[in-house]
Amino acid sequence: MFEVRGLRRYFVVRHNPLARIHHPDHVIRAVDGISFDVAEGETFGIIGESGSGKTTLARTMLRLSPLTGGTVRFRGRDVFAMNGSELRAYRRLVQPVFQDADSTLDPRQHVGSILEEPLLIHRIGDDAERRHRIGMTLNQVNLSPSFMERHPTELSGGQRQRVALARSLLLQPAVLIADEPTSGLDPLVATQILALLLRLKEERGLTVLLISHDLATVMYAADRVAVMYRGRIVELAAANGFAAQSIHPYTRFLLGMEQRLPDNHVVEGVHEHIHDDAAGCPYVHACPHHLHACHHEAPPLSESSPGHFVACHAAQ
Amino acid sequence: MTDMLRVSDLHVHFDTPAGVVRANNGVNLRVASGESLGIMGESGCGKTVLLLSLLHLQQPGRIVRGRILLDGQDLVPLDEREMERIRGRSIALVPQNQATALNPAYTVGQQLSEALVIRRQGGSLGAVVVRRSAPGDSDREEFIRVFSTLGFEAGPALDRLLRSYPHQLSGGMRQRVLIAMALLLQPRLLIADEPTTALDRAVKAQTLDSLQRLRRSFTMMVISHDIETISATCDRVAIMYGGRIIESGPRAEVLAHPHHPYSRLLLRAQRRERGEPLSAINAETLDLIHFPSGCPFHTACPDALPRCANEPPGEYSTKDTMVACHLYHTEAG
Repeated sequence: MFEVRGLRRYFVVRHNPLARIHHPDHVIRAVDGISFDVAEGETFGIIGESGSGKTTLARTMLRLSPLTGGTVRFRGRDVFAMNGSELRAYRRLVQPVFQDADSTLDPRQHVGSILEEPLLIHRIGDDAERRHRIGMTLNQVNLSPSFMERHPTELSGGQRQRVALARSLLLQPAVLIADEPTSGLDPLVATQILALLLRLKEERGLTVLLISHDLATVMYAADRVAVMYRGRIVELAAANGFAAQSIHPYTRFLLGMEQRLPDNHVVEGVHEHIHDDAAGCPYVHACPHHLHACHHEAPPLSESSPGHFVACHAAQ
Repeated sequence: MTDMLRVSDLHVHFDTPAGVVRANNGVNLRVASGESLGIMGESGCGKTVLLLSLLHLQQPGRIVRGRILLDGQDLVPLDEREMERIRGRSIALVPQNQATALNPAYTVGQQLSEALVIRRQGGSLGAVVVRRSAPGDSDREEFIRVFSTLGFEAGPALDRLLRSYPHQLSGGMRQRVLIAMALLLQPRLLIADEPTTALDRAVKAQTLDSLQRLRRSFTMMVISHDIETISATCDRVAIMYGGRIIESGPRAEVLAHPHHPYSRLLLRAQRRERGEPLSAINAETLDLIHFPSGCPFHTACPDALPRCANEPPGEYSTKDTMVACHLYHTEAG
């Protein structure tokens, strides 16, 4: 369904002319050469910490952000070459579910008009039909149609996230790209939303890209898991048995199976993400197993056993 | 072990246009000297209101009833001036949101110095004029001592930290600064409100490491809904629901064999075992205005008895554990 090849998205940070004397412009490689396929009906999980580039990846796949290099293909068609009706169809078939339902729902509209908007944009149905469809979709996310009259501020966090989910489902998409759909919710509500997402996926045969920093959730829900670190995929394998078969030191750190080198640098910010000179492995600074080669040459993502890919010199 | 903190029958209400919100509804808890107590519960269960009430920071909420004994002294009747002496110096709070808790206009060193001024001269944080000069040598020694208890050694990195502004720091570093600020006040009781929420894996590991070091030398309360955080930092656990503590006991016992039906649900909901269904309930958050009669959990409880709808359960104790549930009435008495 998706074919991502060598995807790159760089941001250039420009300083004002005076500051530039000391700080040259630099490039943040938010997504730095990522390739993977997503099969129809699959739940593909992406794990990464804040700053790993997972949200940029999602935005690029949704064509909400331009790309610096590489290609994204959807059902064989280049997403960035689409226009006109083809692009409109793509926007209908591939729907985002964003992390923060508070800020993606307009506080001044009631739920009914928030949910009507995508149908109006795509010119679907007349008034009565749209109302009917909104009511049915609300039912599917366990909300009664009476919620149409309410405003987002009158809803709990879990209800807001369900409204956001309903909005994504209204256009009957084939793919959901869910960026942290359960973070910021308390554990009982997070479990409710995850269970709902998985049920809808089953019922509608959706393909889901599940992006999260929560390893347990991704390993539970996904068919395959990709681990991102500083803009790259460092490991990709089947979710079943993922923990036991993990190889990359960063993955094993996330799983609590291994320590990383102590990191006492104080000042963070963009500096963390610069690796202009990083010909080496992005994890070399924290890796307890680093070799000489790790400093000079980025390890390629290569297949260590069938279906299991890892980017690590020490593992080869 | 003697009790450092003892809260009994604490009721905290908020008056709202829609009615009275009963945020705390008869909280009983003890923290023994030297121990670390974890408090778990969903959003809205009253855990933050509870700890704000300890410091009289629950406004506009009102403490309607109950006692808060700190080393035998009841804090409830104290006025603002008397509370200033308690805040920070007897009970220090590490606030929930590290991103907004520090003043963006002053360096870390200046803000940490403020804590020392308060300890020596009194006053409350934010009210004392921050010194604009660099911290003196005696201050620096204290900073070095405090940061080394957090696992951050003196050296150029520490100097750089003191000169930095909060926005220049990573989330984990800001979290450490807030903990350090609390420690500089040399409190009797240290409270950390959701210390690991919204932190990623590496930062969380760092924060847990700092808290674990403190656990040996401080009396602590840690509020969290994260099982890993509670496991790493607490000796005892209390679970809160509907403004009450509904179960408490030794950490290992409560986490492995929770008694109260709600505790079981709360802990099971965080479990993610491949192939096993998620344990999700569709109950909505409890309405604290139209409080149900009887046990607040009875409408969503899988094991509810007829009397749960009418009679609020008492607190039934076995040797170390307490459960507020009718199911345990006959067994424990």
